Amino acid sequence: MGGPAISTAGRAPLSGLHDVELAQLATTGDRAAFGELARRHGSAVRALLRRMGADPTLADDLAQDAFLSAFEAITDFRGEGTFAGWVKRIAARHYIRRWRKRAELDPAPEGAELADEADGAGLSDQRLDLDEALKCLTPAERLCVCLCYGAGLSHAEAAEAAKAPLGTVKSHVKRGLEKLRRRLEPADAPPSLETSSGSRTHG
Amino acid sequence: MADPSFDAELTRLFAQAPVYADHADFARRVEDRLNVGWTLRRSLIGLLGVAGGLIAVGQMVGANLILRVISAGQASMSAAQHTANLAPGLINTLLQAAGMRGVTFGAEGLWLALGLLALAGALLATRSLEEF
Repeated sequence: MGGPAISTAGRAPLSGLHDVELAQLATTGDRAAFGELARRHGSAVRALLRRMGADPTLADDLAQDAFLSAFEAITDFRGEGTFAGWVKRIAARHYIRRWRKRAELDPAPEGAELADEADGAGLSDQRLDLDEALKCLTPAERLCVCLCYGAGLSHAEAAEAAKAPLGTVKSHVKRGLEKLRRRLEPADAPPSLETSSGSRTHG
Repeated sequence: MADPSFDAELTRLFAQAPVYADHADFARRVEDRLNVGWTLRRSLIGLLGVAGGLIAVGQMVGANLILRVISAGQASMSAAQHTANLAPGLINTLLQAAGMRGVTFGAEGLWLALGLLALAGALLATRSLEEF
């Protein structure tokens, strides 16, 4: 990776190119093309990091780091999935590394989960958006749900990324989905008796 | 939200990311950091090249290498001339067989080889820095 940025003269404007074409230009060291990718998908990556639990400043920093890592490894992106999904997975792994360090230094109090759950139980009549609903999850549940549904990782991939047992990740996702369902269900919906987590094809 | 579609609905909600007002600034900061990294990398390579060159020149001057190479070149030319005088037919036959008729190898050749070696080393260092 390297080399000067390719001149935009004589080619379509960057805004008119597909993500895969921009990524191909970035493999030649075209930093302007990669900047266009950051412009298109920066908000999605930052939003995912915020939903995972990062504060806005940390989310911005980690998102920038993720894009820089993506630029360094741009030849690994072969266009099989979406570019946004690829960068989201990189960003999620960046956040997990930070989260694990913080969790080791400052473990969450045991009672936090119970308190959050109790707070969320009586609010199913309110239609809250996803960002608000995620706040009722414990940090671990939030992380696992965001890894699987936001970053598109399978349960096994999430377990590997978080360096946690697969069963633990599945449990966090299941509990997180139950809480989210209660939060996101409209008031007139019939009460659901079972979670749909089993229907997801995540490994 | 119906049960069977909860997974799909959740995935859809996650895919609905807000577009932050400063998304252009964010992209510019990413580009700036890329450009800074590239500038630093180029500067580092240049500095390493200059430092390596200075060290090489210092070593050559300290070891009196230039005079040695010139004298060695003259000695080799003289020896080649002497050999050619002794057996001109044999030398010509050998040079023709090797496709090097008329080629002489003296101090210039040695400098050329050293220059090519230095160029190859610089390319190798650049490639290594880019890869790692």
